[in-house]
Amino acid sequence: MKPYDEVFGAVFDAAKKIGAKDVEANLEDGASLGIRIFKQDFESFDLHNTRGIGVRVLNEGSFGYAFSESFETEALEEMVRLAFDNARLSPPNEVNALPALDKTPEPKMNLFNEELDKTPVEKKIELAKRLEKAALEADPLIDKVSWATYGDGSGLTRVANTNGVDRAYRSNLAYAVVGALAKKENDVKSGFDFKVTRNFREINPDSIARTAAKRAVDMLGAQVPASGSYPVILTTRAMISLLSVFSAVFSAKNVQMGKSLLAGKLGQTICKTGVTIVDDALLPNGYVTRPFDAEGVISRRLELLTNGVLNSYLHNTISARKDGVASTGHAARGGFKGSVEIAPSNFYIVSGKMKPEDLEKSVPEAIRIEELQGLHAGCNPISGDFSSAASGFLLKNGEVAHPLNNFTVSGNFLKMLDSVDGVANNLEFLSPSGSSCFGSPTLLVSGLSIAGK
Amino acid sequence: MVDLEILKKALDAALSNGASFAEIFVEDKVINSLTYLDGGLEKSICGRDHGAGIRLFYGNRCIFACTNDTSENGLVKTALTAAKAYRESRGDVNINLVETKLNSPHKILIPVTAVCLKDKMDLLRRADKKAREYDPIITQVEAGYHDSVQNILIANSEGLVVRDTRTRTRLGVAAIATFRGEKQTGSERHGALKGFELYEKNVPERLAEEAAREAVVMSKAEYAPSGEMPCIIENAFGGVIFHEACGHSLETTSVAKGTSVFANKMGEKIASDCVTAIDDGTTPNEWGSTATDDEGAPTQKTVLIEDGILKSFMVDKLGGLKLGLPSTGSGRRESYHFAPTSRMRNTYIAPGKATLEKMLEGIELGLYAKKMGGGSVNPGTGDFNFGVSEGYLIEKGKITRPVRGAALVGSGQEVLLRIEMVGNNLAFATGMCGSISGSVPTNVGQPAIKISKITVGGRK
Repeated sequence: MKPYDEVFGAVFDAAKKIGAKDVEANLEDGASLGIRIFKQDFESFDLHNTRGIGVRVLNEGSFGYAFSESFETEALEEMVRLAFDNARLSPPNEVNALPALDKTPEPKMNLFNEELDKTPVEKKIELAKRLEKAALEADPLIDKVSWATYGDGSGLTRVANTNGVDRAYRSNLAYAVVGALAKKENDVKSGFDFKVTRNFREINPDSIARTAAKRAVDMLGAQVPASGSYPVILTTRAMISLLSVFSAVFSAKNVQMGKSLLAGKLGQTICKTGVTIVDDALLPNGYVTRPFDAEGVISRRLELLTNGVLNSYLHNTISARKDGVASTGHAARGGFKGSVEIAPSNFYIVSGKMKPEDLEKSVPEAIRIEELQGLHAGCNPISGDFSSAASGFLLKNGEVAHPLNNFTVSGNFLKMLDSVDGVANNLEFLSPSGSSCFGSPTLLVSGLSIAGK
Repeated sequence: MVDLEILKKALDAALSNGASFAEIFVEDKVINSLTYLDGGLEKSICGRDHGAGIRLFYGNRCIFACTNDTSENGLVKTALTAAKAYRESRGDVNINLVETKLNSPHKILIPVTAVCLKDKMDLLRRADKKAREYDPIITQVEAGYHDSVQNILIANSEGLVVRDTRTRTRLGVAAIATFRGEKQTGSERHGALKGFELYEKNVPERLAEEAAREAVVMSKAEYAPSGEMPCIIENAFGGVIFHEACGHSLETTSVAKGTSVFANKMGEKIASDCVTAIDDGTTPNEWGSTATDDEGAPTQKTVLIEDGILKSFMVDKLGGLKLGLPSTGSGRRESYHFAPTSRMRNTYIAPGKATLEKMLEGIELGLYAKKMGGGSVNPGTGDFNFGVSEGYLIEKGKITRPVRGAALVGSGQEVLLRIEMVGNNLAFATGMCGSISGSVPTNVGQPAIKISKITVGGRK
């Protein structure tokens, strides 16, 4: 007995009635809470309950999709019929198929923290209030708190298909984030920090607030750097911003559609300094760890780049059939309304051996980039080019000379990977983005274009 | 969608703990989305959203809850859960719901529900063919069609009841050119609050040609220069500059918290004298227009800046309450999943008199940004960034070679004061804008503008 057996029953019955033999249904039922505090009172309090089901139906060699937020039998039947009919619009292709039942045992995971689920709402409000207060008190130069938020969410995902796949899991996650504004005369700078966890007690509002405040205050008096080519220290946050856009080059679908520069490069050295990139859906305590992917294919740990050599792309069932390989368990849907695509899970650059301070001392002058903004505008995963607004610090012999902002850093992602001069030992992950979560240590890159004055 | 008696019961439940205001936003939306890739229809998704968002105010505190269950039981239960988040003592309120009839200026000639999927797919087939024929170096084309019919019903404790139906459709084409082992992209899209009549007059072919042209030009472009220089930003999507550099900072979303750089600047000069900027939700059938906003207030034409002076913010109900300002009909939300907040609609810089020739005069080295990509802003500091998707060098007063990979960065307050000239060729472009109330359709627009100095992030 799994939750929503009647709904799945109705969907598969409807499919039988119209002669749809290959059907996959993906249901999500989620609830979330968001509390925003302003001036020690709550500014907003959001309670979301959403659920829906999406189907993928194979008809004459091609897939059609439909979804419904109504679980009434007529709505479910209409949904199956729509998907069955609109499948015929696409050209048939023998690679279109649903995964067979994977005989690998489903990994046992505990992704639902009972204590978080039972934490009373008053404690959550108190935490968010504490976050705001701590940020304002962290430094006399902190003028305002732009936002202080606590949120959590829980959900059930169930995937079933006509090949006998039927899997479900529950998960929950909480986060706290604070953004502070530091002000000195007319100079205003912002800084933020956050925590993501399944364990409510791990959220330390004072620590998050201090970090956010320090980031804002440290940027006061920022100058615009002189334009030129510099060695660049990419901090975890900056590198993760780039990974979140450029991980698209590893998608087998993008490779097959002529949208990735990694086409034809399996087995080749992409990065001569020997960087290793891993995607691990089984990562213990990973924020997007899951037992199976959006098609119900069992999760695994995958090395995409092993010591700089391209080992594998990310695959779902269709892309894998095109390449004559097995799915790597990276099918993803942007929710029950989306189509089955490919996305990374816990995707990260493996730590190196040096401490970040030693990496910074290894060059006489460098620009340490703390944050990149506007990546959706300035990055092109197809060409690999990026040109992004940045902020950070000028370093001289590993010491901070002064803060920098309103400059851009430009380059090409693959060329940059190939000019990584050092990888530090401080791997860290940031908050999840959809069903993906990115991590990186600090990196030293030999020469990137900086545009300022 | 939902009977008035049920709405009243749910509103009463929402007010049961002393809330000062309650609102229910019911939504039923049918969408069709088709994607063409690799020369054939890659996917087609149809679906239906259905649910309600219930919002309450306790003073300036906003409680929001949403549910898919719009039965009497479902709505009352959700309203009570939301109401329990706080408590105030307040006398009984008698809600008298009276429906306001909307006179929408947005006429639909060919409903999208009357057009079969095959005809919609044909637009993509035509676009794909045209883009591939444009040049042999075009190696991939991706085209997307999307339409939606959104029915909404808003009722609130002030007795307001209003319904609206929004039909929207859009078509986008992206082309990839592969040249000497490198790939470059070009894209173009068009959308409106219209029916299928939007696609008359060879729209698919025109979008495809433009996307392919941009990809080809950029694949043969060198890298953009770096440093501060004068910049001419062409019309239409160039308006994203104003949207990011100024627009978001004028929404009461951040102004009401004092976290916008323009929060205390009403009546002051925040832009050059030649800049007049408007946010208009009333223009018939434009992508960012609606007949009523998502809180039931009539949309308006709001003059934000006049001859450089800040004249108005974009105000939603809650923002207006906090600042003591009337709503400008700017309350918007992506769906019933979100509480509304002040957002942009069709935002543009009004046309001036300058010509391109006049703007080019005197520029030794500069950038001509023919087409902009997207961008973002930090409203608290005013720092913004944009991508230039098609750029050219300006050398000694002439537009010369194409350049690629440039980003423009700077401070919103500074760039507004550095707009030296405003051109005469106003045009609009469609986009999706993201913020705390979700992703909403917005237009940006402007004529060509000349900025005296801006930081260009290139590679040389």
